[in-house]
Amino acid sequence: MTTPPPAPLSVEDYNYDAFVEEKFSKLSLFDQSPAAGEKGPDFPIWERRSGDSISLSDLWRGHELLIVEFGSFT
Amino acid sequence: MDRIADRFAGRNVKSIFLYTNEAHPGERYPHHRTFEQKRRQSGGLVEEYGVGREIYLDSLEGHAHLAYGGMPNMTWVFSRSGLVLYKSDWTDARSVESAVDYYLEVAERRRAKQRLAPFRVERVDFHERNAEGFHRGLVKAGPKAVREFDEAFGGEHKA
Repeated sequence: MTTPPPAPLSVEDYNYDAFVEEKFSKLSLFDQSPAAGEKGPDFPIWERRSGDSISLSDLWRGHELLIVEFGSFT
Repeated sequence: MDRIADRFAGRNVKSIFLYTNEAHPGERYPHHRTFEQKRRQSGGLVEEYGVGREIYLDSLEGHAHLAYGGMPNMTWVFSRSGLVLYKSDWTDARSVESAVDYYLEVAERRRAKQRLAPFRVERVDFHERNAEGFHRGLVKAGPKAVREFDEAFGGEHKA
C-alpha cells in the first residue's frame, strides 16, 4: 500500500479539544467522501491491543463484505 | 452492531470498529495528543460498553476517518474488491442489517449465475432517538462533554 496523502486537517484541528461548532464542523466532510459504487481509498489501521498494522484492503479482500463502524468512546 | 456482526460472521462478513477522534472530549476521555493515549482510551469501548468486535485505530491525524467523511459515528460497507456498497452518516444497526442482507442475497444470485448490473440508489433511513443513552455517554466522558453539548445544542439531546 502506498503512503496516504497528508490528512486535510492538522492533528490539533482533527483532535479538537472542545465540542464547539467552529471546531467540530471542520470534520463534516461526508458530502466530499467517496460515492457508492466507487472504490474506497485504502489506509493503514492498527489493531488496538497488538498495535499491528493492517490495511483496510487486507480486510475487505478476504471477506464477502466488510462493515466498518467509525466512532470513539465519546 | 455487535449483534449483527455475530449474525453475519458465519457468512464471511467481517465487522470492525475503527476508532477516531473523541467527538465529545471530556475530563475522563480528553482529546488525543498521542497515539498511545488514543489506544488507551479505545479500551473504554470494551471496558464500559462491552464492544465485542475487533477494534482498530485510525492514525492520530484521522486519515481514514476524514477521507470517509469525518462524521462521528458513520458506517460503511465494502465489497471484496473494495467498492463502497453502503455509506451512512450515522450508524443504525437495522439500516446496516438490511443492507447486508441485501448484498448477501446479491452474492447468492451471482453464484446462481444471474446476470446483475449495478445501479446507484440514495435513500433516507431513520434511527430511534436515544437521548437518555446519549446523555449517559456524555456523562461518562466527563462534565465538560455534557456542558459543551448543552451549549452547542441548547440542552436538547438530539441523539
